[in-house]
Amino acid sequence: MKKYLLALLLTAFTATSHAALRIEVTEGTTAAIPIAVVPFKGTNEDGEADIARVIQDDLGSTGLFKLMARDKMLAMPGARSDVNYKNWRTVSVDYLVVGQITSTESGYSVRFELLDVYTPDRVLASFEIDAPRGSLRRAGHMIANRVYEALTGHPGVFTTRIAYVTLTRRAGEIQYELVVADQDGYNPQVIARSPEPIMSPSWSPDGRHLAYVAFDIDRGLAILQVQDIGTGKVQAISAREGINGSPAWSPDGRYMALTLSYHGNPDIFIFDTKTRKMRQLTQNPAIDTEASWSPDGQSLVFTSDRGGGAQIYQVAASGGNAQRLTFEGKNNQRAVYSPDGKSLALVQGGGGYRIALMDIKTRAMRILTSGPLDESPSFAPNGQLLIYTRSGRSGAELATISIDGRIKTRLTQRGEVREPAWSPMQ
Amino acid sequence: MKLQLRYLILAALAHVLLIVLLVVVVDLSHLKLGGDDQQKSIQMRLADGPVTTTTQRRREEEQTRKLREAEKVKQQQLAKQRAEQAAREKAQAVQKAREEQERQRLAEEAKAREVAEQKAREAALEQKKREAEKKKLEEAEKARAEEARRKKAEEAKKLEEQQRQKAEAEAKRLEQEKRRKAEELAARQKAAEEAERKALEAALAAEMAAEESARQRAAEAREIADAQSRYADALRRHIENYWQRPPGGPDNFICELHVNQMASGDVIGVELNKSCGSVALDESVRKAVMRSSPLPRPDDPRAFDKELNLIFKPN
Repeated sequence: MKKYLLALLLTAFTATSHAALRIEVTEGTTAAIPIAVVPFKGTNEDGEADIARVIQDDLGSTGLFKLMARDKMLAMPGARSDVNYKNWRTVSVDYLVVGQITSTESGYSVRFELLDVYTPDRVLASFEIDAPRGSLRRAGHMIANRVYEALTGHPGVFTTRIAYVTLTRRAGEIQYELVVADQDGYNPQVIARSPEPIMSPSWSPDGRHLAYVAFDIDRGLAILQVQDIGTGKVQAISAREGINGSPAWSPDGRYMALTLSYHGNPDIFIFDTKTRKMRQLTQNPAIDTEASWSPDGQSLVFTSDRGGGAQIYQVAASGGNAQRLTFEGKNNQRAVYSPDGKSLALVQGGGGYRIALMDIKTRAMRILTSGPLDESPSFAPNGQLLIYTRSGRSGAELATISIDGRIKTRLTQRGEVREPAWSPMQ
Repeated sequence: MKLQLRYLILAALAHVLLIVLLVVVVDLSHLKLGGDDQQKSIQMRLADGPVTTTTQRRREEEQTRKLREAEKVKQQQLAKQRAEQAAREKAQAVQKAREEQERQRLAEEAKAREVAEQKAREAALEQKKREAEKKKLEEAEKARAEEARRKKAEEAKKLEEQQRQKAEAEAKRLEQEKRRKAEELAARQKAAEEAERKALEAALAAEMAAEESARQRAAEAREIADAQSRYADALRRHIENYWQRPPGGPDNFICELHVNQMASGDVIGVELNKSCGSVALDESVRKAVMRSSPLPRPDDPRAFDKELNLIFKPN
């Protein structure tokens, strides 16, 4: 028994004594992930949409991927079994998206695989779905989501939508439109149109409703209303005297924070959509506005000039004393919680307006954009990028920026664009 | 002799037969002359010479008679000759038989004599042999007795010698034992002293050897450690060339990969021991290793390790 024990101890000792060689790697270059999205087999038979192109554009828009040009591809396999991994390695591609489309009675069957060029038996993501006719772009976005998530660890947002307000001048007449479009700008859909301003669109957590502010010229009132995107049905929330603005849904979708000024100065109120009762959250002679719910629903941040300039304050959803969060910069306003609740995106003023990111815990502020007039930040639901407006050549335009500030894209729209709001995950 | 006699008889008989045949043929030709053709020839001859016929016939008859008589005489002479011959032959045969008999008798007598002589010789020989054997037996018996006597004497002598030797050996042994014991004692004392000395020496040597081997081991360990450090450095530089961090990742992280490689440096397995905290970074370090394959090989083979722990930790 003693011998046995000793032997065990000895083996344990030798096993630990032979540790693998340890190497520390500290230097690397930063480079986009090389990937090839091979045109899907069967795409050309119908021509509804080039699904691989959709995926490629989605991935390209993130700035995280280096996409191989089609004319450089030596082969166009439609499935893993057709892939010659060695060839792809020689052209320095790390990942491969292959797939095929087949026609079915109701539309298509779409199949894809995300492959690791260096590990032939590794499939990082794959699925096979039925896509009704007219939904191939969406199928492409779904695939892009899966690819993006598999390679970055974050959910893709390529199936989400953006709501924004456009302002166009036609024959001297100004027209406002509330538009909902795919995140890549495709399929724009006007859900409200008015010669009077439309403001502050806000998505319900289920993505089916938009709250926004419209004006009733006849009554001279601003109306905060909720519209069902699918049916177009509109429901008024508040049409009190003064300001009825800045709606923000609670994460569970039951409450809505809003700014009302009917009793004197703007304060934050909370509307219970179930009981239809209004509760005042802040009570301050200064302006309190632009509320945003924390993802856990426990607190809200808002803009207030109670300290002189506009700054960001935090208050518990149940009420109580507000706590100032921002101290850097001349002023800070229009803060929104990041989806993980750890940081705030806001507009920092002082020699122009720029989008900044503040870590709530450390209060560290990081300026993301360069101005001069960047406004209305809205987080993508995966928290990896923001959409905002910036001043373009023909007025305000939409732009996105990754939360590290490194990747910027521009979405050009017709006319002037205001107040983009990124939809929740869809 | 008998054969010759038979031939003679046969020859006589043949002659007789020939003569008889001659006579009969003549008779027959005579008899046939009575036919028509005979008649005609006779008639013609009559016409030519009717005088000669009777005379001629007489002459012929005379001739025949004379011939017959001659034959008869000849026959008689022949028979006489034959009888004489037969008598002579018989006499000869008898003589011969007698001679033969005599000869046989003589031969038998000689043979009997010979057999008797042979028998006498054999009996003499047998007698001689028996006597020789008897003599031999007697001699052998005598020799045996002599040998037994000699042996007995020898054994007695031998026993005596053995006892003497034994006594001597015992005495010698006792003396040797005594000496041996004394020697042993001395040797033991000496060995003990020697062992003590040797043990001291060995302990000293072992101490020195241990020191030396420890020194060598330490030197080798240092060499290997140096080689491994060079190897690790080469690996680090090599892999760094292939590490492409995704944009937008955090600046501070630490992750660990466990890599299996073949002797050729070809990477056969990559495992993430500790995540970088981001899928994209995890993928990037995986890729760094896969792209680096085959990995450089150490300048000193002792530094090679088929298992590597790669720590990715940006500065």
